[in-house]
Amino acid sequence: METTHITKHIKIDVDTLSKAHSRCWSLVPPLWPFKSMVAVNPLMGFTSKPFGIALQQGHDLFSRTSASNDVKRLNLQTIKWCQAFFDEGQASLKIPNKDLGLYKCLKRLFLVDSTLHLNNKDKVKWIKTLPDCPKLCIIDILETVYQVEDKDLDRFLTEAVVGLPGWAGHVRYRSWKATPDSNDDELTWSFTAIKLILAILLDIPLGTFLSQKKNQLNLFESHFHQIQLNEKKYQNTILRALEKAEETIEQPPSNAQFIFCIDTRSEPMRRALELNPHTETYGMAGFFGVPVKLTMPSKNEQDHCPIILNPSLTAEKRIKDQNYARQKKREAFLKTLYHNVKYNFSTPFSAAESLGFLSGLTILLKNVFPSFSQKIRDSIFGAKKSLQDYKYVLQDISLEEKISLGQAVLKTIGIQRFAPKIVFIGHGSTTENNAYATSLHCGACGGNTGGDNAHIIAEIMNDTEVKKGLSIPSTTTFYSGEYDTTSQKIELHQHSNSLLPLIQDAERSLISQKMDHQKTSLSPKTKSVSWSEIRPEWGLSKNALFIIGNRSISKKIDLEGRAFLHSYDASQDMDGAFLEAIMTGPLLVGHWINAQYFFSTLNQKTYGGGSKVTNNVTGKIGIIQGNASDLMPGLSLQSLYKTDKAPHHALLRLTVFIEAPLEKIVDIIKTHESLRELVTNEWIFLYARAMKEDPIKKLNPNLLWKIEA
Amino acid sequence: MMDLKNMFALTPLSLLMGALVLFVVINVGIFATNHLHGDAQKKPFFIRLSLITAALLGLVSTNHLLWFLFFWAVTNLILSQLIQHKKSWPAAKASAHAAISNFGLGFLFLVLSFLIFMGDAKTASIQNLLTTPLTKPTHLYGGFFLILAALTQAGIWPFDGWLKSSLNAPTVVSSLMHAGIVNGGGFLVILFSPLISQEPHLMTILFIMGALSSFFGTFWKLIQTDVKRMLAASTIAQMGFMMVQCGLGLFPAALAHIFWHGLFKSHLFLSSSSIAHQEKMRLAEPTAPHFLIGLGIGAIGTYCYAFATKLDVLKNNGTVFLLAMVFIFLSQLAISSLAKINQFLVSALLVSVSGYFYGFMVHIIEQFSPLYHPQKLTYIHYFVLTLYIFSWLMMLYRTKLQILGLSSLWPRLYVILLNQSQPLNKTVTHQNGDYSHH
Repeated sequence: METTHITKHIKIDVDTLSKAHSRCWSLVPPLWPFKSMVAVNPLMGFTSKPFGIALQQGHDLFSRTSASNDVKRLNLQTIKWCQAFFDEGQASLKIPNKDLGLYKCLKRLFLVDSTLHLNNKDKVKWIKTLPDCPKLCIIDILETVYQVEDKDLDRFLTEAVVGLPGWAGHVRYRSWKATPDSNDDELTWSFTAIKLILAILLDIPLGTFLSQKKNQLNLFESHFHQIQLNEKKYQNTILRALEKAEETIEQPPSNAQFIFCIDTRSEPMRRALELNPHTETYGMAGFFGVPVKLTMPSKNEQDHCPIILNPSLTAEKRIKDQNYARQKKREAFLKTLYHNVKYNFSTPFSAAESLGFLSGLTILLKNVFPSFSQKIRDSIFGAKKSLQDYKYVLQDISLEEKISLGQAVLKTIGIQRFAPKIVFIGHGSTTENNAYATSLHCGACGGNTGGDNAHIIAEIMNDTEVKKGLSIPSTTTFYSGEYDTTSQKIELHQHSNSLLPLIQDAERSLISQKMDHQKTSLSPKTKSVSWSEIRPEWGLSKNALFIIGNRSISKKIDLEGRAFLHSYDASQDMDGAFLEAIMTGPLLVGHWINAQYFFSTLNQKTYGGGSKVTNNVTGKIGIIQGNASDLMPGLSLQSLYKTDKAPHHALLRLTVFIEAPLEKIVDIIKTHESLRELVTNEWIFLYARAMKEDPIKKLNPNLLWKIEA
Repeated sequence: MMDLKNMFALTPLSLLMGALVLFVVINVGIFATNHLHGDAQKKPFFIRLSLITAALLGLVSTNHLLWFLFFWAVTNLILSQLIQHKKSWPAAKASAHAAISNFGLGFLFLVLSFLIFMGDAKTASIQNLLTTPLTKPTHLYGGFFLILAALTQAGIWPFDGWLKSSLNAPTVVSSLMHAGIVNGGGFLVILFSPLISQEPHLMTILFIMGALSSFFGTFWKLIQTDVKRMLAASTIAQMGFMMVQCGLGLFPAALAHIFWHGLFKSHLFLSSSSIAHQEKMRLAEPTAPHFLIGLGIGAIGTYCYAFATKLDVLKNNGTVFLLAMVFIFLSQLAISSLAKINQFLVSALLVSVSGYFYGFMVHIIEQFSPLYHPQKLTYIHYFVLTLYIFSWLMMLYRTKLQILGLSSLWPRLYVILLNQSQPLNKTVTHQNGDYSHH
């Protein structure tokens, strides 16, 4: 213990400490758990810096390669306690006193952990004297033990917190959920305090936290140069195509209009649907402007909206089928029996013996006849219901509210002519034995499936009063459905004889295109039910482009499923309010997704999830590698790479193309600091033109428009 | 030296174990063709998988002690390579190292044991050895080292470190290992059961070591927060129970345990990624009537089990112990089902059918075992049985324990168990820079 040799008199000012603490936590990106995996930019704390510098600084901070034994000892204990405390339902006997919160719970357990204090009486006594408030505890430690001077405070705290960036990210996520606008909550303080207590108990010297990390500078220089070249090449191709593409002004009257999520996977499906000349498609954020909290019988609530919003509506989702309720009850019954004999004393031995035969049979069926084994399971536990079996009960909202929700949708995407059938298509994925399942769902719906939102908005719009209020002809009917991005099939909530052939034609043409492209032995349908499939789908891999404008400008270009497409018609948005909403909402989310894919691909160790081959699910919240490790913060190797070495995703920062008056765009960017940073620091590239006839201009980092040569 | 005809002996035991090996290997192989798609180590994996299959088939069918040693060593060498898989990941390397050190020790024990047996019996044929009359010290010392070798292979405490630290291995390798290779320990004991069962002391050692592992493993399993280490702790417990069965002389039952637990665990590992989205059903405290009726139904179910396995119920030997364990299991089934649906007849029918089916499955496998030599129960056996029953009741009524004031002991115990169940230091990936997928 160093307490006995106080040499300096250090006084920590609470305010200074709070600020430094807040600064250090703002560098930690929140890491969403499995139940709703949402993409964030892993360097979101660095966007105020030019991209190249942020890349290097992010690497210096998050890539942990210390050879010091002290660091290893500290991390070993931190991992052990984080795994134990942040568990959300894996352990049958959970950590004692969990409800006291991280700080008090662990402080008590440290008292009895002899691997920490090695039964040293002074240390045990010291733990007992620690205050009950984590902030006071930190001050105490900084003043008496570590004696950190103000100038070192930032570095010290950052090193202490970020030693395991993944676990820190999980803490940041929890604090984000509690207080989205600040990171000054009890949990972040608790985590910092716990790290410092561990460090003291393990006799980690101050120098360990202050030693300057000597990372190879210029590590990325040549790599970065190559990325820039690739970006330039991609932009040239796309911009030329956009300039050349003839716009079909005179469109035949359409029979059906499909409104999809902006998700890049929608683009090939939209193209396939548009092969029919009487079909139009639109794109908008896949929660379709209805941020809804969904309640379901015997399930947890889900917020179906972007993480930056709070749900303003609630809806109850029910299943019409009585039979289904019975099957679910049976499933719950059998599961209870199984879990009660498995997670218990003395009974698991017989449980294993009696279930061995069924296990063997299951292995065989899942391996050899995946679809058949799915059928058997469905007949016992109930199949995944067809969307038509669901019923939604939306909370009462006034007609005005309904009209304003509908109005927002129509204006945002700029629909003017109404086809007899308008279809909202949300999206989700179906995969088997996949820890990352929710990362393939709809990001705009908070890592949930988007079909529910589609259904709710369609129901609102079908209200005759709403139609009247929005001057939609009464002959127009709204439909809804969900696009399964794994099996590449669209399913509708309502039955429609005229829509079905349209959809089936599109599905067929999509699959046949895909089959030409890549020689995959398994059909998408089989992939979605196969338990051994390690790449059920590519998700948003290869994303590179974000287009805000009418579909007509990009309709003639094959965007290869790499583009977020947001419909927008500037002529209907005189004050630019909708453009502002698109740029501060969907565009920002698109950037986060792009950044997540970018960094996970760039450096699997630091920003990715590692190989699925050796991953291990901890606490039902995230992935660790093998026996134990930091919580892996990003997408798995197999989501981004074709093989261990060959990437599938291309390292390109998001290129944005907007068709809107240039001064409006600049105004919006200047008003919103978060957007301005992204452009001036080149996290995204912004191109625009006011109309088809104009040349495309680039918004330079100095926020001036320039025609690209 | 023996001629080729005597080198292999196809006994019912070797046929059964061969079938298990082939089933697991083929299924792990099918799974891996998809699962390792794009993995740089896919080809080496399949080469090793083929080699280890050959070695395992050799091991279960050889009739020659030296060949047995050879196949035993080769199997374990390849296994440690399979565990490593990713060459540039230090933690994986450390896992392989921990495994190979353990196997090395086990091999040493096995060599000692075989030397002792061969020296006395003057034969290298396993079948001959089993029927040759041997002196008491040969039985005692040869058997002792044989048991030690078995304990290392099965990951029985205190030789459990490598198993808890082996999860840097690919999922497919864990599946193979827990279904096929840790069973080597049980297979060894069952194969040489005619020698071991001569010595009550050895049986008691097996019993005690097994019982300790079954308790430790269960405790570790119940507090684990990651799925793979939970499964590994569970295997430690299950292998412990299998050794308990051996220690009771119930070698046929142990064989059934090896076989069915192998398939059970193999499936759990392969599907371990899906656990992220599965909700765990809680074990609720039963009401007094449900508990008592549950015990009654459990008794009926146990009778059905005994009927299907053709066990003699009322003898004061190991079978009573076994039936008591079956009784606990079936009673728990009954109690849980009563709590969920509260229909006596449905529960009774369900539990009876389960009991019969369970007995039937065990009975099929028991036909393949060479020896049934139930031990007379002593106070040690009764003591352990009481602990099994007590720990089960403790789990059922754990909310009541807090009232009794035992809650202050729990944090202390929790931390001890948590520390015991940690993987070896070097096999942990301490910081993200130490991970490598190459």
